[in-house]
Amino acid sequence: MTADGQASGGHCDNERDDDESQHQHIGPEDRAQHATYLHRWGYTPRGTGVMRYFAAQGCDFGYRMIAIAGRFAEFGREIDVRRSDMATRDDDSDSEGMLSDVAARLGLIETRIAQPLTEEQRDEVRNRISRSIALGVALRTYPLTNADEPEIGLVPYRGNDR
Amino acid sequence: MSAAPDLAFATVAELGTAIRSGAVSPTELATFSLERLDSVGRSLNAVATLTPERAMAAARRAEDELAAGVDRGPLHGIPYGAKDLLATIDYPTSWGAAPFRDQQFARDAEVIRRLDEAGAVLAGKLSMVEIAGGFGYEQANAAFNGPGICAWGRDSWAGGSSSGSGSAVAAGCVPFAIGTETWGSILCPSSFNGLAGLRPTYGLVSREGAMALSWTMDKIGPMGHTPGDCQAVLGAIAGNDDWALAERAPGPYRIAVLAGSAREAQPEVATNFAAALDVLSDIGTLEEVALASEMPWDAAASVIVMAEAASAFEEFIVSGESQELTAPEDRAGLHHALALPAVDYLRALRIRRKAMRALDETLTGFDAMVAPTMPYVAIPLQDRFDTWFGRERGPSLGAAGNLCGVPSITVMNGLGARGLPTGLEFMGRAGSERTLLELAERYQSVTDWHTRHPELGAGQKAMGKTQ
Repeated sequence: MTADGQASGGHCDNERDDDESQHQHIGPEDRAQHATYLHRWGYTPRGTGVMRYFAAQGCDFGYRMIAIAGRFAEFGREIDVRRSDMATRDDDSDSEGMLSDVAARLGLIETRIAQPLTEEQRDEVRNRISRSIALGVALRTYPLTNADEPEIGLVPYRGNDR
Repeated sequence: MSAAPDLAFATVAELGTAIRSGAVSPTELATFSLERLDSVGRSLNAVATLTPERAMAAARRAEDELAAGVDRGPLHGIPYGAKDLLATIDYPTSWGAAPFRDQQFARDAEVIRRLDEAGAVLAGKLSMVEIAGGFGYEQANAAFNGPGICAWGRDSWAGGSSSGSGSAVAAGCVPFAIGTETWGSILCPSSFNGLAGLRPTYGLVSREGAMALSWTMDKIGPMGHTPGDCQAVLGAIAGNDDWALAERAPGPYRIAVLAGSAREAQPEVATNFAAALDVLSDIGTLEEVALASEMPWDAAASVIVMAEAASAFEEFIVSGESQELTAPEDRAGLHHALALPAVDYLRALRIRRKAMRALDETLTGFDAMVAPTMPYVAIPLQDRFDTWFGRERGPSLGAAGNLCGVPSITVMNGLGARGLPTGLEFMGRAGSERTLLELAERYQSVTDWHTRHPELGAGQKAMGKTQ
């Protein structure tokens, strides 16, 4: 009936995460890894580039997003490792990274839709893309390991008679 | 034979007693609901489609069965309304959206079928925000038949996306209604309209025949005047009885209070919440608790809804049909999610697994966690939402509860700004519906907010106990 009912049917690999020892592997190194990952994407762990981008665009985005970015900023302050490396990153290039990401996604969307967007709608879509990028950044403040799988599991179909 | 109760605001239990005593018949009740939906309900933009033929046939059947000694239980002969995203044979199912206003299905949704089996009488399909709000509406006027109007104040929004379910019950058109919630769509209109509204554990109620917005977050639940009514409805629509069989540990209730949840709320909401905590302290112990601060609750829930909704409505978006939606911001409102990276969605799902464990750990040892259901009363009809929803309002239970699929119930706990209702939310561990219902019932047993009802203006004044 629901995905939940199926997912609880015991997927061995999923259980790895329940082992407390797995949690011990999440330490400063993992967080640094995440910071580096974000760095490669053009975002600082403090989120300043993201915020500067929004400010530069005059985006009418929700305060909720500011709150998420703020939480991200708080988390960023916890990341000591490679902080100096991050500091060398210019905020302007972060904003440019954001801009090019927004432009790339908008281009992809426009190749797929049958009806062209009005200029006003393009602005709104850009705005919402920016918000979803901020959400992605916020998600990456939370460290995950290779063992962290989603709560979904494939249940091979065995026919109606089994 | 006892006297008939005030039909408009009687509870399911009171109506059931009246039917069995002969004080009122199911056909009288159905007629009353149909007429009131047609007048008061329509004036609140609460009605998508009336179902008079079906209602009268079901009412006559209930009358015959009860006369023959066949009793299907507490909902037998009781009228109700269903949010218009639940499929019904013979009547359109609009999903609140102009492009789907003539949509027809060949079978009833499972919830409708179960309510039929329980003898309940479908009187109407109730209005809702177009596509359950999945396209990012930012104003009340986001439904093909107009903005949902709060039963307590015609200058205020009924809440969403189960707008009609909230206002129709609050205005005494039907004693209960079915709503759905992906993120706030039962609790928000219940709070704005002063109702008891239950969001069950994810998966407890079948979604078959319901519009899919977000497969892993959509839930279906009852909205009524009391937790007891919600319990009666849940008993009919739940896929199993596990929730009813679950027992809480003996002893006083242990209640967690979400830290800081009233800090940024409207002053009246904060005052009413403090008063509710005083009441709860007489029936249990209170302890302030925070949700895991490192968990990106909002971001994970947002990405999951966005990705699943864009997938569920991909053709609708790509074809340009979404350009026919009512709210201008909805017309290209989900386009951005067509380019959401799969890794973002999967990351949100991976985080959800951690989040579920973290939330359960927080809730373990408590019968419920409480917070103001909404940090404000029903918002003015003409206001843009970003001035309300967008403002940082402190921690709430909505993102965590919906992301993790745990149940919540809201009940009215006072009146706030502009004389509009405020709500008190009880959230519990997965499968804890029975405890939440008991706790909410205990709260109502020592307060009288649920006995107050809106004045509905000249010619539409509600019968019954009005404030």
